[in-house]
Amino acid sequence: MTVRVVTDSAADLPREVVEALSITVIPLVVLFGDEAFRDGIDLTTGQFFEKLVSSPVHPSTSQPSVGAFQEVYEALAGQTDTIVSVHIGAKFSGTVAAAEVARDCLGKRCRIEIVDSQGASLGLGFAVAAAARAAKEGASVEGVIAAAESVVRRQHTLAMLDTLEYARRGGRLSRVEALLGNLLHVKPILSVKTEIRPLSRTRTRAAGLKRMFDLAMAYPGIEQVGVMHATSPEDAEMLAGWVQERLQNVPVHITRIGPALGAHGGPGIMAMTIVEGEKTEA
Amino acid sequence: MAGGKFPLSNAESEGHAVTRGRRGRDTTTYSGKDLREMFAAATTWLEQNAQAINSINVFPVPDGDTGTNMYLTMRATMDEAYESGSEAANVVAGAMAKGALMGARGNSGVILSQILRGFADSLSKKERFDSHDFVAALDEAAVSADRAVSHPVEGTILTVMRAVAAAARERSKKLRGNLKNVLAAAVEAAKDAVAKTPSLLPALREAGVVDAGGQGLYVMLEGALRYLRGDLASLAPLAVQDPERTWARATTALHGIGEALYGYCTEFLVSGEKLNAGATLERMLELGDSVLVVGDETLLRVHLHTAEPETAISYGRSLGRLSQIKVDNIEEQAGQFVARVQASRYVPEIGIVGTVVVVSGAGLEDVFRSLGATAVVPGGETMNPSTRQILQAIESCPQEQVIVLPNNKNVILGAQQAARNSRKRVRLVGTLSVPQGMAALLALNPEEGLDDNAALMEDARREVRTIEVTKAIRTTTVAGLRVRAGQDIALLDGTLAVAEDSPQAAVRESLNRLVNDQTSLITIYYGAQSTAEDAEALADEVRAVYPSLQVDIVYGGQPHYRYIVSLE
Repeated sequence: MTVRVVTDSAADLPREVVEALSITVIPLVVLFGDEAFRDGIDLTTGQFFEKLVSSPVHPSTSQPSVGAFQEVYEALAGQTDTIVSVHIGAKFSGTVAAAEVARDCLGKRCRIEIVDSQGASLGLGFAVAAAARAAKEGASVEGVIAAAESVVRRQHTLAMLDTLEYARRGGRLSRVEALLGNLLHVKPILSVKTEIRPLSRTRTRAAGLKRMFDLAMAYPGIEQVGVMHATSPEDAEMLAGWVQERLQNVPVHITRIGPALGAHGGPGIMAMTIVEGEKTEA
Repeated sequence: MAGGKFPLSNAESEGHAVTRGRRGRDTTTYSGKDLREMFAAATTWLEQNAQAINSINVFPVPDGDTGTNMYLTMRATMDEAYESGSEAANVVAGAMAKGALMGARGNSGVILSQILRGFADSLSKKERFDSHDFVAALDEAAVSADRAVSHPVEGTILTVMRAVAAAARERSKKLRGNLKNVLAAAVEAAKDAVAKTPSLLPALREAGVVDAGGQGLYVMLEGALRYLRGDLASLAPLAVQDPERTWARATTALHGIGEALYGYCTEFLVSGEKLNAGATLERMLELGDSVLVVGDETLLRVHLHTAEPETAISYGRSLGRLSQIKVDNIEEQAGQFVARVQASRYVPEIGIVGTVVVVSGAGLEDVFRSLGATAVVPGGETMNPSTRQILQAIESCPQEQVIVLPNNKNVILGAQQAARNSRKRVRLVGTLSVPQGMAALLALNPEEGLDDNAALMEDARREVRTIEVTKAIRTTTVAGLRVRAGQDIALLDGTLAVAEDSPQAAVRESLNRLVNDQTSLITIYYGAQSTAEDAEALADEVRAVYPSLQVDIVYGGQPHYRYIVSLE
């Protein structure tokens, strides 16, 4: 029986990919004060960013409920006896915790393996896609997990924030904030893997894009690249163009960043995910 | 040296071992005491000529302090020489080299310290020396000076030093080649070489000045010669004498264990009329502690530990003429890494690589701290800290790997010297301005090591353009640009390129030259001579001309440069 792959909306996977690879996506919950929206279902990404800027209330995102997980797992249990559930990093969200509780509820009816990607956006998305491809090719559950974990090890995700305003409001980035100084306006470039870590800073957006690009290209043997934006498709195109020029035979995917990172990064956020090739693994 | 023993005739009396070798060659020997007194006289003469030397800097900018830097270097040199308490020439020379090494300020100070190093190395086995040893030492000093600079340039102190060594050697071969005559020949050669520097360096010729560093060396040699000739009328009591050491002892006691380790150790000398030590003491006690005020109606010496050095110095300035101003950050002196008062936002992650930043200006210091600089070395009025200050800052970092950002071309040699003398792994990223320093510091990656970060920071510093606006202290011509004293001039990435009749016009013209399609952010750091209102007005003017650019204003508080502007 084919292994079924599940993930959450933080993976930022385009609809075509989700459908082609038969991935099941469970939405994160976006909260604007009392209003709760299912990410991508009750609120599109575009609507989210409009609301982010205009709403007097700063939004937060929260993991899908245990019940939401149960529903999905129960439904899939009717089609398969093995599920691999790959999710946003445990330090970024309680999603993995909710998945684990739901798994325990299902008991022996279905084997459910949960993978903590330690990543977000395409840092998670690439791992999910790799797992789904393996599953589609008939891999065993071990093979599907291995495919996901391999990408988890080999991926690096960088994010450039236009402003610290949203991060401050969300209260998530205090460690980063300490390094950033509020006497000069700076654009931080962060590493988004396992946790958020500061990597560099620039004073202008143009310099920030260039710096993030340089940092990304410094990884050896790149086999896959993701370029993510929230409300700046032209910048994403430009960045993707730079990547393609530098790495001619490497596939470059552009996608939109959702609320999971967007709520803290703000509408100007840009990100890149790099997957190193297998042979360069230590 | 008040009431000290200057020789009454020439140096061949007063206990010098006078001997004559074959063919009447002079083999009179001299002690470390003679050496010290010669250099002390050189230092005094240098002090008296320091302002004049400052004013012949090629760039007519107020912080071109070659004279002051060389004098301060020599003062530190002589402090060490007197501390040694020895009569042996090699010990005194070695002490001088050590004092110069640590006390070197500015590029000219560093070269001078290398000259003294070569001099000391040559005399390392001589407790007494004769004129031939002296000549050999001058040779060694010239070689050492050349090695101090990676790209030696003709028409500078290096040329003068070489000419001095050559002339001394020539004279010593001749009849009556005694020390006095050898030194006289050296002084003549120095004078000549200095006069020729404009023919070797076009910038000097155009500005109509001789090389300041070379002039400083000539003045020092002249001072030493006057001493040998007993020509005392022109030499005022030496600045370096016992009272100096007494002061040093007294103030050191104030830095003992148990003293509050915060703020700035602030010292200055006030000369004026009807000065009141008691009133001054009271005022200083309001500002801080560890206060020491000594002196009389015409000269007061002040020391205190305060969080407001500017206030203390302003008070001093209101009393008379200030000199020997020293402001050192006690926290860094103590080798402790203490967060500042506003600190909770400014405590940086302790990454693998520490950063030492040299900067003048309270606001600029704040900015660098807020960007996470590990240690900040205040440049002071001359914007040139000593090698020791930079070294102390390096040692105060918790990290074993440190990057130094000098932010001024005149601090580079001193920073290199400090790096060489640290037991830590230190790299210098040659930032030439405050904006370059900020861009470099921003590029620091806490996850990378020393060499990778040095490379990142080197790339980053080149991305920013700098405009520095100040007042011309002299009428001159530089690179074809005619500048009148008092005009508002701007240096574009270190090159004097604009002269206008108002600071606003200078900024406008500079932006006109530098702004291009890539520019998106202009930051105006306003200095101590400017106000927030002036800066806002200037920013509004700039915004009107460049509506698509972001224009930020930041309080810098820097001396001399009314505006420092960065383009990114």
